[in-house]
Amino acid sequence: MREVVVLGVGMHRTGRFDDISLSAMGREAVLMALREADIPWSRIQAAYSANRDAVPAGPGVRILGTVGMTGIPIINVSNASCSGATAFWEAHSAVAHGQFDIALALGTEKMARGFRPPQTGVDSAEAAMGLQAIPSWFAMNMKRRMHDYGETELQYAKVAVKNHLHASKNPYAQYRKVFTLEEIMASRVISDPIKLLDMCPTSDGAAAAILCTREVARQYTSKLAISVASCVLRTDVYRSLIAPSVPTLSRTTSQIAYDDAGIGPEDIDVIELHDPATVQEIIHYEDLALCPIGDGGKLVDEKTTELGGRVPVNPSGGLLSRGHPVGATGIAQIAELVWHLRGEAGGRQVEGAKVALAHLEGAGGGRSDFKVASVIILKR
Amino acid sequence: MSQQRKRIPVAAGWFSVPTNGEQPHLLANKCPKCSEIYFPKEMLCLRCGHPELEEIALSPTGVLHTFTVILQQPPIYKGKVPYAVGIVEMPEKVRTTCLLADCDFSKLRIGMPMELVVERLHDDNQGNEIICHRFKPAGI
Repeated sequence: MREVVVLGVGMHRTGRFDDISLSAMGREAVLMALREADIPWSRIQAAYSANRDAVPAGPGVRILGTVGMTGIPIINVSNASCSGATAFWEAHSAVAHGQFDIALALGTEKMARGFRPPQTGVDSAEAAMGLQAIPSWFAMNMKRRMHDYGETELQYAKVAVKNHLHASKNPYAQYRKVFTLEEIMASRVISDPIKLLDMCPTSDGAAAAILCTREVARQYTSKLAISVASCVLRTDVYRSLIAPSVPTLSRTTSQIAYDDAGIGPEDIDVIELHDPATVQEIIHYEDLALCPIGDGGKLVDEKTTELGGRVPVNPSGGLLSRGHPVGATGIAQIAELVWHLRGEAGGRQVEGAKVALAHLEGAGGGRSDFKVASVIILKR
Repeated sequence: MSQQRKRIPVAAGWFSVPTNGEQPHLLANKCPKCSEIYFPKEMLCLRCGHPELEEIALSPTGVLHTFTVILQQPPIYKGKVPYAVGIVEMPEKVRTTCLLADCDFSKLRIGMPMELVVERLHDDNQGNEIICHRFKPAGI
């Protein structure tokens, strides 16, 4: 495998932009990445475009046709919350294995407001029974953790306070307002004990990353090229209640990523992880081996994962506050981390960051225990 | 003049439909080779790959693993709001995410024994009764 670097990244701000088309948002992200990389569009050899909700499906050609028409293969990717990470994974594979020298990973999304509509077809009975209210899945995780580990709603609310505080310093975030613990706790209950501000919003957004070999990078931007130390995409292994328990999908995926990069969780300086709900951030501290299982809540209490703490998590504001434009999120995480590793993250900069990790976990549809997860480690 | 009101399961083959007040059962399938049990049913064994599974009826009891009370109506669902959803673990080592019966939700506790009921979910637009399985706290 060849060493792959991120040459440039770009973003369209996350939020609600009824007057801006998907193509315009995607184009803005791509043009910014091209400027950062100091490379013309004509040098891009392949593009992987992630999106989940667009109708008709697969808007890659439509979006990139507004940037330039150069005959390159454009591949549409959709993979639940890991859609953007999957486009990055595809681009990384293509460059690492020598198929192309320079590839683009793009993520875009424009989403409906409110509860996500359920998937059609196979899951119609579950939807009719009201089992596809997404916040309820996270609420049940909260209830069980409160029972098993004595965590409290206050600890979950602290995750929201932290991520909103981080987003207040991020010009690309959907919400830039600082919320108090009282405001989070007083927000409307959706699925007890999940409150409105325990959940991420639906969002519009776009992000892009240009990947190439280390050799090619020398010909272009004067900016620091960021190395991809590992790039892992996995789905669940079947887990039986009869057999002894096996680690969670995100745990397994991060372990492979640590091994590939030849580092451990103690070496990570900054993390962007999957926080569709406050409780999920705490669960994923444990999945990423930042602390023993059951101790996730303590990291929030001790401010370990806040800017200024030992390992800041979601300096962008995360899904909770930067927003979750599903197809774009995975690449928005990469953009955020590249800026930290270059020392360009402004008021939310993690000082001296050298190693960064991006994590996502998506519902695969169908069985609730069949998920997809990604872990990408970047190094300066 | 009016047609007979029918009782239609929300999902075909998920549970036995009681006609005379007898105890309903969830219908699962079991791998004859490795004994793994699936509810809802699968087409082949996801654990060992065996291509044929046998139908079995599950015990109508379980233990509440976790739960939530949902206060906001999700799309498609036409039942009552608020409503409770839980994960119930049955003695056969199968967990299912399912509706909980209408009850005093403040009495729900993780670890409490549960029992299966089949009851009305909502009416369809022909006036038929759509029925579903739910678990309710045992003995209440």
